[in-house]
Amino acid sequence: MGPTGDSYRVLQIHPSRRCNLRCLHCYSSSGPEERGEISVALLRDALTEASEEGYTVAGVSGGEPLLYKPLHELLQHAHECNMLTTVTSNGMLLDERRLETLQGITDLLAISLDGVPASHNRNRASERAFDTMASRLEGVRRSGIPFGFIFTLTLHNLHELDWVANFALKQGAQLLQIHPLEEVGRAKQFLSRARPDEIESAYAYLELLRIQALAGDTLRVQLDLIDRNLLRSSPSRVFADKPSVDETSLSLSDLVSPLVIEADGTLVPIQYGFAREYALGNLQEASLCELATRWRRERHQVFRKLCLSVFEEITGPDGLPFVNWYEAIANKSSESATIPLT
Amino acid sequence: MDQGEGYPGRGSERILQDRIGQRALPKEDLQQLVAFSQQDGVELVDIWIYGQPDPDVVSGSFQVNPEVAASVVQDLIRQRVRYHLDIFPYGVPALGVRDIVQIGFTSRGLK
Repeated sequence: MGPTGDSYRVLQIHPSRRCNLRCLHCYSSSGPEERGEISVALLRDALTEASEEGYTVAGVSGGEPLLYKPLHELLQHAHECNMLTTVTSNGMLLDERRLETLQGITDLLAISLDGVPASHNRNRASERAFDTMASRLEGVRRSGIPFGFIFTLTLHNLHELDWVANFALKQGAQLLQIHPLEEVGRAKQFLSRARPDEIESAYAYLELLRIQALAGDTLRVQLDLIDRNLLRSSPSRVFADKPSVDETSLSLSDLVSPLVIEADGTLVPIQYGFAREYALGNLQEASLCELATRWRRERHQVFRKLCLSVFEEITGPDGLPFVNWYEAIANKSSESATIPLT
Repeated sequence: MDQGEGYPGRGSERILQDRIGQRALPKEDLQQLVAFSQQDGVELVDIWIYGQPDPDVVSGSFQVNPEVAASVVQDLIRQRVRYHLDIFPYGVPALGVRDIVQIGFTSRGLK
């Protein structure tokens, strides 16, 4: 089943690392100087084949997706493939013209918000980041596109979550996603030792419950951590169960979700930056279906072994329950050479 | 832009500090709070910390479905050294809200 569940099988697309900002915590080290991008023709083909493999959600991130000129065509095609679409943006470029290109083909617009204005601007390395983003929100509401905010939780900013939640409620957001910082990309340099540990994660969970109770059904609050106690009884959520059926009969989305297309065309499991050891290959060299076939044959069992190893590690010790499985498996993928199959 | 600014301590400490000064919850209490809040039918509706200037108590409340209330109460009673129970019915039937039981709790803070 995997961490995204049975209904939502996610293809995450990073068409480019070009961005109008150079955020301190950016996991892909995106910025204005980046120019490379994946052609929309190649991404359309990948979307078509991904939907045939059972993927139901196309999430576009980056870089700043609004700087990808064929974004409309990409989202349109995802909808034609019966996929839901999400766009993750810093919100600064959401003018009326761009909002028009998103209308009707964007199922969720996720806007980054890192705390009170001063903190947001500091993380975004721009003194205009908050005000410009905030000035776009009236247009977002008028557009009717469902939207939410993504808050990057660090060791140092939980006290700002209450302000963020109130801001989200006032703005009419439907979602507040709390995403723990990972020390990858630019964060490795600028925010080292700022990732939330298990104590901070537990407090974040309690804050989430408090905020969710206050907000009721108006705002859904989501914390991107998993409870190791729940995980113990549900290893299939992280691909750590014993296969009950012949896996050759399963679609790729049964075996790996999220599936990520990085800005250079590399197709990796789970999240951006996953070790190349486990990659499916590069879309510039072969189609998604061809890469999937080869991966099933040559790498899938190695990936399963990695999943099992991480599952055993994070479900082992008792303690505070919340862990970032995505971070744990990405780190493990990088530190491990090929794990022997036997 | 100065990239080194920002709150240097834990965000959670800042929350506690704003309410009670330089205090923190014992890890054991934090673990218990999380465990209670995760029981089926239990919803953490409030948590606050009081006692300035010499804070020693964390207080809050859970809302609990009647069908699981007994087991939750049993759990809390087993740990009565740390938790004081204050149980009373809660609900607004006229608005169609299901009857629930509200359980207040208090926990000693960290001296």
